[in-house]
Amino acid sequence: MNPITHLLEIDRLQTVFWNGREEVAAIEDVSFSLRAGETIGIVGESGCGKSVTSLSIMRLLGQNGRIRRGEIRFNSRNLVAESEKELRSLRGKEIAMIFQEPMTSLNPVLTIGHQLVEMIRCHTSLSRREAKAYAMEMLKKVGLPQAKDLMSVYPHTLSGGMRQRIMIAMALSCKPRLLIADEPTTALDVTIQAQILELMKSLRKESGAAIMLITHDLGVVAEMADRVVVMYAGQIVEEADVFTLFREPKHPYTQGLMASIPRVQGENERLRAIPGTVPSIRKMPKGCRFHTRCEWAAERCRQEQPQLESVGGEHQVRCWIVQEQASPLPVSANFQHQEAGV
Amino acid sequence: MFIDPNTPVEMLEMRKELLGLNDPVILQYFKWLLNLLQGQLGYSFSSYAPVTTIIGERLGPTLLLASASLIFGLLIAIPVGILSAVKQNTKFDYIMTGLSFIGTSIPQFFLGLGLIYICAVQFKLFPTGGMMTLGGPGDFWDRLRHMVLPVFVLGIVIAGKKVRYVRAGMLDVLKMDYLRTANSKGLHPFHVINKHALRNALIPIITVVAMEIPLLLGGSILIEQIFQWPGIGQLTIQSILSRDYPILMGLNLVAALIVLSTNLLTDLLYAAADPRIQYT
Ligand SMILES: Nc1ncnc2c1ncn2[C@@H]1O[C@H](COP(=O)(O)OP(=O)(O)OP(=O)(O)O)[C@@H](O)[C@H]1O
Ligand SMILES: [Mg+2]
Repeated sequence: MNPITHLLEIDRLQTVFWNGREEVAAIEDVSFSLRAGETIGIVGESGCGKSVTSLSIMRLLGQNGRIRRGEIRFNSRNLVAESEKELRSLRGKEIAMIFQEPMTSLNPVLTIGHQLVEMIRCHTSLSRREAKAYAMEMLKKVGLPQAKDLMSVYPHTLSGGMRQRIMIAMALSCKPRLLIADEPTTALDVTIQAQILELMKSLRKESGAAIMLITHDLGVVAEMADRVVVMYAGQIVEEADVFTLFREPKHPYTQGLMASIPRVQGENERLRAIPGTVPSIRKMPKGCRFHTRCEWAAERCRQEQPQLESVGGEHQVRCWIVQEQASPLPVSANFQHQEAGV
Repeated sequence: MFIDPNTPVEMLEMRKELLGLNDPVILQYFKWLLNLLQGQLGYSFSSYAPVTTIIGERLGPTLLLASASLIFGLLIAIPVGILSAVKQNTKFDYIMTGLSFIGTSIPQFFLGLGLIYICAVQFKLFPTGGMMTLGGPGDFWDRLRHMVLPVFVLGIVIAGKKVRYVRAGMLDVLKMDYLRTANSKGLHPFHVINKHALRNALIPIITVVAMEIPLLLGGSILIEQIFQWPGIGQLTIQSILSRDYPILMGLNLVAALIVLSTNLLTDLLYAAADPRIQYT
């Protein structure tokens, strides 16, 4: 838990959106951290706040969104307090992002070359020609050998997989220390998905960038991540390293997610979906946010909101049932948490 | 045609026969078409000059006025529309939306006459009309001074209408994923707006602007009359009043050509602005 080794630390982040009448919190009390070179997976159902978390880090929340509480420390700098200009110099250079929709993430009226070169030239002192050569090199690196022709091509002529490769080439071109990938493979078909994941793995090895991988596909997480954060309704409900999470998921929601993965060896066992729907961010239930869909919900779950607590080592769960059942916490971990004010 | 009631009937008949006015209308039209194929539009009933010469003289001033007004209008509409969209729901946005509403709803003749009264009559800043000072030097600055008021009147209305299209187009584009990408690259917001957003926002605006061109020519009828601008609009009024059919036919032809060529221009501009469109 030495802060120096952490590249990114998010501390009790709350991000709100103005909906015309009031500010509603899209994410609340989100804390996690990421070491250099580490890959963290963020999973959860649609609308649970995964994208808002990542856009908060980039401070790209648009006009009606803002960070109301909490800190985002990147390299020990609090990004929440930085000026817009400072942030701009980080975006793309230190923290880069790839998005879910490769079909719409590239500008349709600018050539691939232009879109790559402008980014490279924005953060380096390369000349136009050097930047162009470098861009072609990047394209080759992401498995697009026809780089020279691609430079003068417009995005609409390319397939989704090729565009996502270009997005990756662009994101990695300034050697960022953190790559945020917001569902990078969701929009692609399965074979292309596998190729892109393979590519990300090999590039990760080469560049040593930390990756924040957002997905709702636990298979992708198992494949890629070192650690996993499970989000539900704007909060983190469980965090653990990937082996622990898959071996013994504690939170009823995580267990539900696991049960809903189709398994090849699963015999004739029926796929189990979690009953009910995610509560709306405007009408969060009292107590534990998951209690409306939880089969274990007790009286306390309906009344009091649980906190994210360690149940051993770095495995943290936000659930009364789990916390009450858990063997008494090791003193040191317990103490640390109280000190941190969680 | 206005005819002196004392003209002898035989002479009138002879004249009618000569002008071909006794032929059936269809035949007259085909004769006109046949002449057209040879580049002939006939002769004015009132001045006996060739229609092509008369229209040719008037076309230049009208095109000058129309294009200057269009450029002036767009030079206001595009930046104001962009800023309004970028600063959506701020005071600037509200004021500009309000002004554009006034700009669109104010009648042109009223604005024109008002400006003549204030700027030309009261303060003598600009001439009241015409294209250049009669007997004056007729140099660039003189012509410019004569253009200011009519261009302003026509342009302000265009600006008022187009601001709303630019703003709406920009607001649509600002929501796009590729703009989020551009921002995530750390580009300067000025670059993001002008390079990434504007080009996309302008594509739908091309049509709206092209549709404006025929309207602009229609609008210039009024403005040319008010400002004594020696263009097509003024000629149209004069020809209608004097029932100068050859000229009117010629003017209709010119109007049709202008509409067709703006349509062609629109399609070409589309292809130039949007790489997804290709004509083969
Ligand atoms: N610009 C915005 N304005 C208002 N509300 C927003 C905005 N962006 C996100 N939200 C709200 O924040 C909540 C979380 O959205 P978010 O996009 O983070 O979900 P997600 O976990 O990324 O889902 P998905 O898997 O569908 O991408 C949603 O309820 C959404 O309505
Ligand atoms: Mg999302």
